[in-house]
Amino acid sequence: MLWIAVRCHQLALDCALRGQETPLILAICNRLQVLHASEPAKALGIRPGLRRASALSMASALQIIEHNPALDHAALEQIAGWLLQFTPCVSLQPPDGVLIEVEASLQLFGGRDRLMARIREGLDELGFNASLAIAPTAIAAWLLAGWHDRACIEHESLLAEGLALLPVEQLAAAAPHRTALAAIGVRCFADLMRLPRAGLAKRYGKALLFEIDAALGHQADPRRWFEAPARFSVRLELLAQVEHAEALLFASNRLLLQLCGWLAARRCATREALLSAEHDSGRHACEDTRITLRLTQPSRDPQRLLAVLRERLAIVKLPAPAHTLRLDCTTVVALPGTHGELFPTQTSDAEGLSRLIERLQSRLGHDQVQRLLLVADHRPEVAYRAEAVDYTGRQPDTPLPGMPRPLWLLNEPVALAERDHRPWWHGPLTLLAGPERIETGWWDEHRVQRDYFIAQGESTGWVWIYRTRLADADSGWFLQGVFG
Amino acid sequence: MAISVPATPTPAATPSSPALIPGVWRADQLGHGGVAALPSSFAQLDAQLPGGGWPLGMPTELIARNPGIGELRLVVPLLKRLTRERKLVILLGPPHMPYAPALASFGIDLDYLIVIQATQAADRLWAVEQVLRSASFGTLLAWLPQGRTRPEHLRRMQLAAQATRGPVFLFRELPAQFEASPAPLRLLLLPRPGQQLSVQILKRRGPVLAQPLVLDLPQPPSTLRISRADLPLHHSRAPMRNPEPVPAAPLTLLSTAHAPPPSSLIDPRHSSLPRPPARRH
Repeated sequence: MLWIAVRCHQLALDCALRGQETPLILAICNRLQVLHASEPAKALGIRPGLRRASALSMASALQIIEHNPALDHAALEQIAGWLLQFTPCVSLQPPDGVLIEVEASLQLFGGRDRLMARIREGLDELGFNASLAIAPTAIAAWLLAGWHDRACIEHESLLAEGLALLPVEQLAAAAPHRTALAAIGVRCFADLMRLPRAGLAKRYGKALLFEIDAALGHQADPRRWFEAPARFSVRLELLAQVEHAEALLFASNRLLLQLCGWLAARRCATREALLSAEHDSGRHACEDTRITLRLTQPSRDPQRLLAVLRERLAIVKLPAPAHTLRLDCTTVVALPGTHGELFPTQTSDAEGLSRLIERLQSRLGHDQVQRLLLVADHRPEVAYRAEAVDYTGRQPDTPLPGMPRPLWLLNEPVALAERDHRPWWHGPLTLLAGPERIETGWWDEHRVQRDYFIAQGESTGWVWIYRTRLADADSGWFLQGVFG
Repeated sequence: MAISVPATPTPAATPSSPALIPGVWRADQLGHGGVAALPSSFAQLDAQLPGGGWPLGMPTELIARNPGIGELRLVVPLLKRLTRERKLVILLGPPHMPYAPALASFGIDLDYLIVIQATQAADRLWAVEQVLRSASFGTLLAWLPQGRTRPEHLRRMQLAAQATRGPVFLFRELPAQFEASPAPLRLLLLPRPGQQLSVQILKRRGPVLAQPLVLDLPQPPSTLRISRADLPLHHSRAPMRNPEPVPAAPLTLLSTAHAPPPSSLIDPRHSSLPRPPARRH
């Protein structure tokens, strides 16, 4: 099993701000103190833990919202509903986490890194800040996500080692005993594991022992799977009163993305959705403004729905300021997933494209129309492959180089002259960064031992040059790429 | 000769009003009306382009002396955006190999990128026209063979481009700046030190811009990867899959422009650069 934990540290703040395009000085408070503060509020010195009265005295413009745990839970369910498009195994971990089991989904979504990146991007578009971690057990993933964003443990045998440095207060069952544990010198997970089990259970409760065992995979941890609601109806409260319909676009985009996630999880599409703007019930009481989004063909493509919405909002006039948006999905049509196409574009385009490719191939040669694939290799000239365009293999899940790479790669490295101890190409080159040593390939014919530098000449832009380290005839400077 | 005048106020009557007849603009204003465009994500450039970005359905000429001065990074933000929107990017006749890892690390989805190689000049001109006629692409980047491209070719390309819905870029070499061309937008690109690019607008639908624009090019990204970033946590079983761990030499930005790099960064055995005598054995 492989679990991804999604933890939203400032869920209440995200809920309040996700309909808001402009930054606000805002704090989420309970009766006594500040729980979360928005970025502009933090800039004014308002930190979580500050007393409510002190916070108000520091910034008179501060807007305070009472913390409502019920809203948090509703938001968590919305996130879970959206995550169902990646796997059916989604489990809530209140107060701020959602756990998903993804081992069976990795192939479909192009590997672990791509899946994580996609989840992260999607949550960002929905307006939630989340930290993600991946581990073979649910609790371990959850603990890691609370500690370190992007943390990762790949295999069960590495669990104990990976969790060793985890601060002990991250464990939910240890948080109440934080001071007592600190007093006996227990700071991290490894310290906790060194204590005798019987004593641990007696002093700090069985829950702590359970949490440790579940994190290490020694203890069964059955979970309740989350089920998506049968109807899609989501409200989004706006912090400010909105007077013009076009200003609703930002917030309604978030709702549309959420709707598309819900549809994808159910393998469905919609032909009609209803966006309602709720108005004040005070002096200007009036009916909700209803905006119907209709598509000619069922779809769950957010871009298509957004295009319709943009047109509709441009002509709608709000009779009164709106404070809440609601999106209901009125018709749901089953739409099974399409097969992964070679170039999944819109159908008409794809048809024209396949005709074009055939025509080009017939004159230029079959291999002259290419697509590029990444190859996991550190040697620059082997790190990509140009395949004929009808090669249907998937793009491999390859780690990208961490160092800057040029946009143009020369077919053959060009040997450079050396003048005054400096490489020369249309003038002297100045080394800007480096060396990046690449020394690999001993298993085949193309062994390389090179030090790469980024260099700049007077009339050229940035170039990518290397110097061979092999003591043979070919030693010297070579130009291999141009940064374009 | 009878000229029919529409029954609308003439531009002279309301000097500040935008063009009232589609496709007509005052010579001292930018022709914003009727030009559909995609933002180039360079605010300075967008402000000077009719329509506020790369125009759709008409060719844009980018003229540069040699490839590699930053002409590709000028369009990288657009390529990233289009491939994210699942629109196809076609590179036709590129001068070198577009390097896939660099493109991917700029955020371009390689699944939506096609490279068409055409070494023969005639083939390349033919292919440009075929692609334009099919109109099934998000954007086309074509490198035209200098010396074989005649005005009639460009005219045909411009006509074919009118039916398309994406930006079309024609990359040309320096002598092309002195030739007439029907392309409505022509930019001359010149390298500048310090990761900048000078863009001179040779032709646009609007007044002449004497001063070239200086744009900051997007930097090659060198962010660390998700799973490799967290050193205290990441426990990969890498030795099983990667037979040889690669030495991760820190990439240090060296300080000033023309100073030789500090000797500690250079392997002393093969270095021919000047180094302090203390390092000699």
